[in-house]
Amino acid sequence: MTTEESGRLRDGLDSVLRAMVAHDPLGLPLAEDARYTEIAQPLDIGDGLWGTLTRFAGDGGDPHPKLNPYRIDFIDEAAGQAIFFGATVENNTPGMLMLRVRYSGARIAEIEALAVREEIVGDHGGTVTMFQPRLLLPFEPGGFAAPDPALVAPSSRGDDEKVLVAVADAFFDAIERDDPDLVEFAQDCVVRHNGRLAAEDPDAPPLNPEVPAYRPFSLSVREQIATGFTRYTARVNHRRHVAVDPSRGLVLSVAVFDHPARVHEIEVPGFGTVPFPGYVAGQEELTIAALPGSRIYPNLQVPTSDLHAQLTRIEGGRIAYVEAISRGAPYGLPTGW
Amino acid sequence: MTGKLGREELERMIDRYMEAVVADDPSRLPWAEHVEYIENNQRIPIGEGAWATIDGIGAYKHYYADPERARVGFIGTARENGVPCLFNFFLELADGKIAKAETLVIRDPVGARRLDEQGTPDDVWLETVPAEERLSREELIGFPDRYFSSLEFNDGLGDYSFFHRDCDRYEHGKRTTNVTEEQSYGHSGDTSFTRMSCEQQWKTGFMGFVTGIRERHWVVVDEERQAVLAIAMFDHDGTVRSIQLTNGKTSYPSPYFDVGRTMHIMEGFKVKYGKLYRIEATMYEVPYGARSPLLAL
Repeated sequence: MTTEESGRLRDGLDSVLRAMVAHDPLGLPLAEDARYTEIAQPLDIGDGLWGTLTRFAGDGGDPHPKLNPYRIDFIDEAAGQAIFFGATVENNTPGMLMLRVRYSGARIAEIEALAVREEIVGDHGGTVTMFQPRLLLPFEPGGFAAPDPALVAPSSRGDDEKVLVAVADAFFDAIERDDPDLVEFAQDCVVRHNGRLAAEDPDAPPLNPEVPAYRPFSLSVREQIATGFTRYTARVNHRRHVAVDPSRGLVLSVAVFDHPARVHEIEVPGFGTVPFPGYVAGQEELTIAALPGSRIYPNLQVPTSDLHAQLTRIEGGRIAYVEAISRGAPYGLPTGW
Repeated sequence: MTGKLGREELERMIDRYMEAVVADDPSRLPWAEHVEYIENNQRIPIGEGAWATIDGIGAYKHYYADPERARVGFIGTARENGVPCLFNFFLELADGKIAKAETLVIRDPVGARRLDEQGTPDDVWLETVPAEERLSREELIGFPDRYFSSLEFNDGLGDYSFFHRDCDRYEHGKRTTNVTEEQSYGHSGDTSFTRMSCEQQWKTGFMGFVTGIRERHWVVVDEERQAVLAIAMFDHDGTVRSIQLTNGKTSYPSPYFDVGRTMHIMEGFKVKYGKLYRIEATMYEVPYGARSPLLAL
């Protein structure tokens, strides 16, 4: 990754981020038909993040109380592509951003942004997306202080690109088909989602307070899937493995998790019937009032989709680490690519 | 057969549609060979989405009928897993079959219950206006169009005389104009805004955080009742950091507007006395910049 070409791609990536902060794309070497999407929506280059991005990890600026140094880059000379997966601040709101920049020759042909921001609660200052069910694990900026060395350390296992992609894809198959045997997990596999532990978290709350003993995020990811927790996800759609880095055993994938709300409860051996959380008829105000103190917002009873960017670290064909960011979206969202 | 169906038949199609959704059975309805089917801003297969979860019809039903274009719209309530929600949609019929259907399922149980408690739309919405007193379709459409144009980048300096002095706006059933009790508005802590009339509100410049109202579709023009049902995309691009109000004060948009936000709007407008007289707003947030999937309307 020290060649002149990779340096050019890395500089190009930073120049796009700097142009966003400057709210000025005019100096960029854009192809005539350059495409830009942000959260799966085609936008004009200059709109969206180009008006709101204030800081990004690694921008060389002064310390900022809301800017984490978390940043992982992917440089792919063959594809002419560079990707930023890191922390941001938009105006005064912290977030995480996956920004993919692909060149065609010397010109930028594609820019894809997936931004996940902190949503705060509160009657009026609140930023909770209006009337959108929230994610099970809402974005926690404190969870992105820096990449875990276990995620980004050089890999000695030597999985080739084909194996890495197959395993990352098989993880999505396992979720889609509720079958943990479709992929192998390393012992002590770490799963983090939006900056929070999403497996083997000793402090994980119950999925539904009606069944306090069933706490899926306290289980291993394999056990989670085996207990039927993922049944609310019918499809992992529009999968793209946009970066593969054998030196770190990493795959960066974009996908949409579709939740059609056809499954309202699961039978968990040893726990009985576990209803997926949702508004309880006649108690809507109580449910809403409970939001600020709750990690779990009841959102699994209505059709939604989640747009994901996911880092999967694979060691010896086994999944060792999952680091995902995601945000809710209207059911049936495509990715724009 | 376009234009041949009367109000009663069009409204009956709304009821049939609701019944089919509750029954989770699209086969109960007559579908055209090619159907544009949209729910919450996405094209999804007929039978997915709300068909899975809507299990009851609510009390609030407001129909908008456009026999001229064989279209009918609805702002109403339903039950989703037993929980109140807003369930808005419009249909376009071709030869008596559904050729376009766009639905907004808005999961605001508090707003839905408010509408249910109201039960029926305010009588003014339902008045049949004698044919000789009606404004033309184009004149009717001009009112929501002016409303939208004066709302985007609202600076308080425009001509807002298209509002009737008694014009009221309701958002998910909540009155947000001319109220007498203390009530904050939207994401602001301001409690004076909702005490004003529509025109007074517009003259403050307070709404300047709305940076665009795109893709204005006049999906139903109800000539008989002199009303328009519109779909549009409201952008808040996150670049407005402060707003100079016409009273000399400065308003600072809440953190909600730190980032780009877009609302997919379905909004009804009633024209009376040659002015904009009632506004019925409903909204659902979509990713910033999302386009309305409606095709060539």
